[in-house]
Order: sequence, then structure tokens, then C-alpha cells
Amino acid sequence: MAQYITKRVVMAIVTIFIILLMLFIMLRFMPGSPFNDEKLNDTQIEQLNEKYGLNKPIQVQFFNYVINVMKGDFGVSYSISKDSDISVMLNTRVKVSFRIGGQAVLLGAIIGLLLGIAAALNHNTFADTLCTVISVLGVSLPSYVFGLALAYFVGFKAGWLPLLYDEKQTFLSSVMPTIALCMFTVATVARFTRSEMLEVLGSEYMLLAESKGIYGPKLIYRHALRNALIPILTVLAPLVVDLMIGSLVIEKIFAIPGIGSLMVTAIQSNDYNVTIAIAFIYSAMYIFLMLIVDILYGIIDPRIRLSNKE
Amino acid sequence: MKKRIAALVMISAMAGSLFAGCGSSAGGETETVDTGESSIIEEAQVGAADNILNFQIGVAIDTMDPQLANDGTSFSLLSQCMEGLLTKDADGNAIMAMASSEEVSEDGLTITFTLRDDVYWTNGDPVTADDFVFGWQRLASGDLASDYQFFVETACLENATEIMAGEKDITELGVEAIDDKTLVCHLTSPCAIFDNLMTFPSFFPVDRSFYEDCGGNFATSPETINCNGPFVITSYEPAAVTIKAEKNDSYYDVDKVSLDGVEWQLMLDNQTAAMSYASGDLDVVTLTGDLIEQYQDDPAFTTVADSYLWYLSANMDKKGLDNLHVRTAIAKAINKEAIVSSILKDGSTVADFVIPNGLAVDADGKDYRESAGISYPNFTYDVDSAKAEWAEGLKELGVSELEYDFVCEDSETAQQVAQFIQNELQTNLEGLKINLTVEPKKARLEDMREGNYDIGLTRWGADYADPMTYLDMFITDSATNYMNWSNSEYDDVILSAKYGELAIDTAARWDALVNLEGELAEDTVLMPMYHVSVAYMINPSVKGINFYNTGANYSFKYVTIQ
Repeated sequence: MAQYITKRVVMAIVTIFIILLMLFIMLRFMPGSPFNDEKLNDTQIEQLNEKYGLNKPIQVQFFNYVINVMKGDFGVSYSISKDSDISVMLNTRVKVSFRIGGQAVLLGAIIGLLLGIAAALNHNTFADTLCTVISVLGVSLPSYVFGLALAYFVGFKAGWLPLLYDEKQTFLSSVMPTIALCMFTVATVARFTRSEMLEVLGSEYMLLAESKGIYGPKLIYRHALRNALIPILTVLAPLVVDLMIGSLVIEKIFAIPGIGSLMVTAIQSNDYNVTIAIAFIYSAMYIFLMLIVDILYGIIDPRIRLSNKE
Repeated sequence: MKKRIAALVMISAMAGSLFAGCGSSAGGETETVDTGESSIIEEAQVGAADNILNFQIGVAIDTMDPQLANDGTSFSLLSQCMEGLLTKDADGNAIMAMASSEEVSEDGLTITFTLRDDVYWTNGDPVTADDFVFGWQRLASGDLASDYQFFVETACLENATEIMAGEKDITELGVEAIDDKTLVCHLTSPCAIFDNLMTFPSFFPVDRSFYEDCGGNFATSPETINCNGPFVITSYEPAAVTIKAEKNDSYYDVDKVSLDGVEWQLMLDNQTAAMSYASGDLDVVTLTGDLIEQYQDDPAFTTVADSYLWYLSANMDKKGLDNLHVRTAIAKAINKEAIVSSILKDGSTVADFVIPNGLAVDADGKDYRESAGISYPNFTYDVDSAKAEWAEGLKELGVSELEYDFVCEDSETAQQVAQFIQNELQTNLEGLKINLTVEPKKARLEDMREGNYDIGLTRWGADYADPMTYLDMFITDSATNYMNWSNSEYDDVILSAKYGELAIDTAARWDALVNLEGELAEDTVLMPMYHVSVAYMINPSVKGINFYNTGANYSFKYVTIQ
């Protein structure tokens, strides 16, 4: 197991390094520079390039950058928030995005699982149809529709929950964004759970377990769900990253200080350092989660671990 | 069993929100804020009950460093919390602020300010003349590389040009602190707009010892922002979504400040902003697009003229666009009234001239537009005349058709306007083909700057209340002379009006500036499209916001909530 994990970790680090390099190069090839502004003349643009070391050869820039990142220094913002430390800019935003995203993943996974199990156990009944309808709607309707609808009906018309994100009532004001964000997860997880469960429920070992006298929740939990979990885990991992990193539209609707909107602004204004930092966090999280999933596979299903050894 | 009940509750809640979602999307996106028959005002719960003004901003704050700031949103926030030597009254005239008196020498080259005795920073330090010297030297510094570095030259401060070129040290800038309360400015030539510039955040003071104590974190948190204005920042972080300020009790004029505080809320989504306005969460919001149509009859709907001009720039290095008739035809073939009334709808006005109305007044208080008139034939929409100019141009060039790339940026409004212009030009000018390309703003600016474009839709905003802020864009070699136009006489007059003979003679300078705009029109150097207005919803219980069209966009000092 230790060897298996070490191998995965080394691969993860190499992948992150390659991603960093690609990001760095691609950003420099993007049209425009952070300093294309009506008010700046050529001398000033030169001064700014000099100030931030952007006039050095790209390999030198990259080398310096990697060294700094290893020290935990993502540099300063060029244009979004001039000369501000990116770690400071991201600090509070990452927390907000992670929290709302985390809540959405948790809520989405729980509801999705429950819906999927309910549908599978009541195959071809009204409950099953309802679950399918919800899944289709959840996957096909974009989250801003839910967001706007919630904002209008629950926040504005009924006034039950704060319309805008309010740091004084972080939980209450995160309820609507969480619900809007989790719909896609609910639908995806429900759909997968349902089909996997149906497959598992129809298998012979379930019949065997039942004939051994195992029944009820114990049967579902220990024999059906555990076997159905692997594919669900695979679809859930990328969803976790997507949600944690923050959603631009949901952040826009509820005025949430998250990193999704910062990322878009950073790309539009060619603020290289901010863009790379966020993309880096995104990739690192993704790779980290994939690593966890790989390890979990090994734990859930020993066959994966064994075949890997060979 | 409990689990099952919980699951059922959740499922039904989900289903409920789903159907709500369907209803909304079927009803169309803009209807989410439709309040039916009643006016939004009747529904607006009177917010601001706690005497705090809640103001929506649509763009994030770049910085709270007065010398680094380069956009209207940052300038506006800074101006609520800090003050320079002078500030603006309700009409935008410069009045005393940190300074109690201003004395100009006879030759106009030495200006002496005496500072008030009762002015303090929020950390308790007195505001001194040296704070201004420090702030201005930062502005001039190549290390800081401020977008507004050129302001030290615009203010005609001694050695500014040499410092900007890196030939002299910032300590040689023409400003000195004689003692704690006496600041002397040395100018290379009289500066007609000096007082106006002194109200601008770039010229705000910076507490030297405080700055040094911040150790590189200056202006990044409430603890590192030192205020000397009506309000003091209590919540701020880089790229903040919510920024809070409260009344500054150590402000010298605190008796005139009625608000207990201000909260700025960054809201990119105007629909939720409108909902927040209606629910009383926000007192002032900006409207765009469809929302304007929805609210324009509401008594709380207000439009405020800004100083931005959107115009077409034609690259005169490209074949055909160097022809005056072709350029004039393009300028005259576009129905600008349709742009402002059908696309923008926010109170923006047709631009048949360059310098916006209400930007600058002469010595007698007469607006520039009254002196210069309100239209030039080459800038005025007239299809017949455009067609005649077009035919003449094609004849001179010996061609029957022309094809140009037309670049605009990727904002929704810019694209809509550009598509309309493309259509107008292709319909009204036979044989003209326009290929529209949409680029991110930074890329568009780079292309236009490098001459890598044919026609571009671009904009300019005034930096100070003088026609020069527009007119000096068009001198040869100016970074903003995207059209590559060159006229040595024009350049000479600009130089003279800035630093030469004309700078001394106010009346002659004014007349010269009026003539310069005439020259731009006569040679169709640019094609003005429209002057921007901003549409707001302002809670009727909020009174006394002063709006300005240069520097800070507004002042909350005199705001009261009833």
C-alpha cells in the first residue's frame, strides 16, 4: 500500500509542475498585457514591466516564479488590486468558496444518494419517476436559474433569507447559494446511484446475502451501497473541485466574495499572477482529490490495489 | 424512520425550488424583478434606517493607495476617506480642504498653501506639509509607476518632466515643505487647472511615518489605511466585495457630516442589485440594459452625466482612411440618436462634438460648449451628405469599394453598439465592407496602440475639468493618438497652452482650445459617438449626494437620510 501511495504522490507532484509550466507559458502568449490601459504611455509600460520583472527572459521568470511558489509566495497582483499580495487576496476568498462549495457537495451528495437509493429501491414507481425528473432538471437547468429563482422568491418576495452575502450571518446567507450550487450534484449523484444500485441489486451476491438472512438497511448499506460507491466516487471528485473553487454566476447573483469571480476578472485583465495562482489552486486541489480517490479505491476495493502491484 | 422523514422533507423542498425555477425561466429573465403594478418605491422598505448609506459598485476597487489609484471607483472611495489641499463643492468648484489659504505669486509660478491647524490623520498624527511632499514624490516616482504619474507634469511642477524621464531624483520635484503647515509649489509655467488637480486623489497626502510603519502593506487593510477625510475605512481587503466606512470623528468638518457610515457593496449582477434596492438592502444601485426600460418612469430613477466619450478611431496609416472624405462619410453615416435611445437608454447623449457638456468652464463660469457650440458638420449624422462624401472619397482614391476590420471590446454594450455601427456603415455607404472583430479590452488597446487595426471603437474619460484632458490626446506621438494623425500647428498650440505663452493668458488659452476642437472636427480626426451617462436608482429618502464627472464620481459628505 505504501508503495502504491508513494507512486501516486510522485506522479501528482510532477503533474502539478507541468501544469504550472504550461500555465505560465500560455498566459504569456495571451494577447494584451496587464498594462494595456488608455492612460499609460510606453515609458510607463516599460517601467511597469521592469518593476515586476516582466522584461526578463521567460525561463528566468519561470524559474523565479517556481522558487517563490515553493516558498508559498504567489507574487503580487498587477492590475486587479495593484501590488497586493495574492496570498492576502485569496485568503478570505478561498475560505468563503471552500465553505459554500463544501456545503453544496455535502448537501448534494447526501440528497443525491438518498434520492438514488429511494429510486432504485422503488424501481418503476412514482418515486422513481420523480427522481428521474429531478435528475434531468438538475442536470439541464443552469445553476443561475435556481440562483435567481431562490433570490427572487425566498430572498426578495418572502424575505426569509438575506439576499446578499453578509459576513455577519455567514451561514444564513450561504443557504441559498448552497442550494443553487448543489442541484447539479444532486442530479448527477442521484442518477449514478440509481443505475449502480439497480445493477448491484440485481446481482447474484445480493441474492446470496439475502438468503443468508441479511435484510433491510444492513443489506443496502453493507452489500449494495458499498459496491455501488466506486463509480459514484469517480463522478463526485471533479464535482467537489468545481464547487469548491466557486461559481462565477452564483457569486455574481449573491455578491459572494469567492474566487470564481476573481478568476474571471484576472483572466480578463491579464493579471498573470492572480490567474496562475487560482489555476494552480484549482489543479492542485483536483490532483489532490484524485489522489485521495485513487487511495480510496484501493481501500474500498482491494482488487485495484492488487492489480496495481503486479 | 427519522431519516426517511428528513429525506422526504428535503425532497419536497428541492422539488419546490425546481418548480419555482421553471416558472422564472419561462417568464423571461428580466421579469424576476418585475414588481407588478405597484411602483418599486412603494415596495422599497425604507432602507438606511440605521443612517448608513448602502451603495452598489459595479467594479471592484483597484487599490486604496491614492497615488496608485487609476479608476473612478477607487478615486470615489478614496475621496470619501481622504482629502487633498482642496476639495469640490456641490458644483464641482475647488474649495479649501486641508489648506486654509492659497497664495499665488504674481508670475503664477509659486503657489503657497497654508494648512489648517486642526487637521489630523486617524492615527492621531497631524496632517503636515511634508505629507504632501511625500505623496507627490511617490506620484512622480518611476518605482511606483503610477498610471497618473503624468499628473506631476500636467500640474507644471518643476523638474516633473526630468524626473519622469529618469534624469532627476524625485526629491527635486517642485514642491517643498517650509514648515509643518506651509507647502510651497514651484511651477515651470502658470497652470490654469492647478486648483482642480489639487482635488484629485493622486495629489492626496500620505503620512510618511505611517507609510514606513506599514512596511510594504500600505493601504491593504483598515489598519494600514490612514484617513483624513469625512469617513474612515473600517472594513477593507484587496479585491474586497464589501467595504465599510464610518464617520471620522477627527475630521475637521465633522459637524457637516450627517451619515454614520457608508457601505459599498460590489455587485456585478444588476438584477440582484435591483432586487436588493427594492428590498431596501441597497440605497443606490446602477441600472443597465433592460432594467433601465423597466424603471425609467420611477421617481427614484436618475441619470448622471459622466465624462466618457465613446468614439471611432480610424487608423490613417491604412489606405482609404487617410482620406478626409472617407473619414467624414463614416462619421456622418451613423445614426447616433438610435444608439443612445434604442441601445443604451441610460441617458447617454449624442456626441456631435468632443468635449462633453458640463466638463469645463471659462474664467466667467461659461461652459466650454457655450463657447464652442454644440455641433460640427463633420460630426453630425446626415446620410445624404455622408453618401456624397463617400462618393467623393472613392473617386479620389480611384476605387469602388473598401473593406475594413472594425475592432471593439467584449462588453455587451460595446458589442451591441459596434454591430449597429457596422450595419449603419454597410447600409449607408455602398461598397464599404466592415468586418467586426471582438477582443478583450486589453487586447483591443494593445492592437490599437500598435497600429494593428483599421477602425476601432474606443473611449476616453476626462482626468481633470479642462478641455486639455481631451485635446492633448491627439498630439503627434501621444500614446492615445491611435489614429496616427499629425499636425504640427496643433501640437504647438497644445504645448503653448500647457507650458508656453498661452498658459499665462487665460482668455487667449480658452479661445485657442475652442479652435483646436474645431480643427479636430474639420479634419475628422475622430468620429465621436456618444457621451456616457450613468443611470441610478436612488432611494428617495437619501438626499445630498453630489455627483462629479472628473476624479471621484461622487461625494457623500453632505448626504442625509430622512
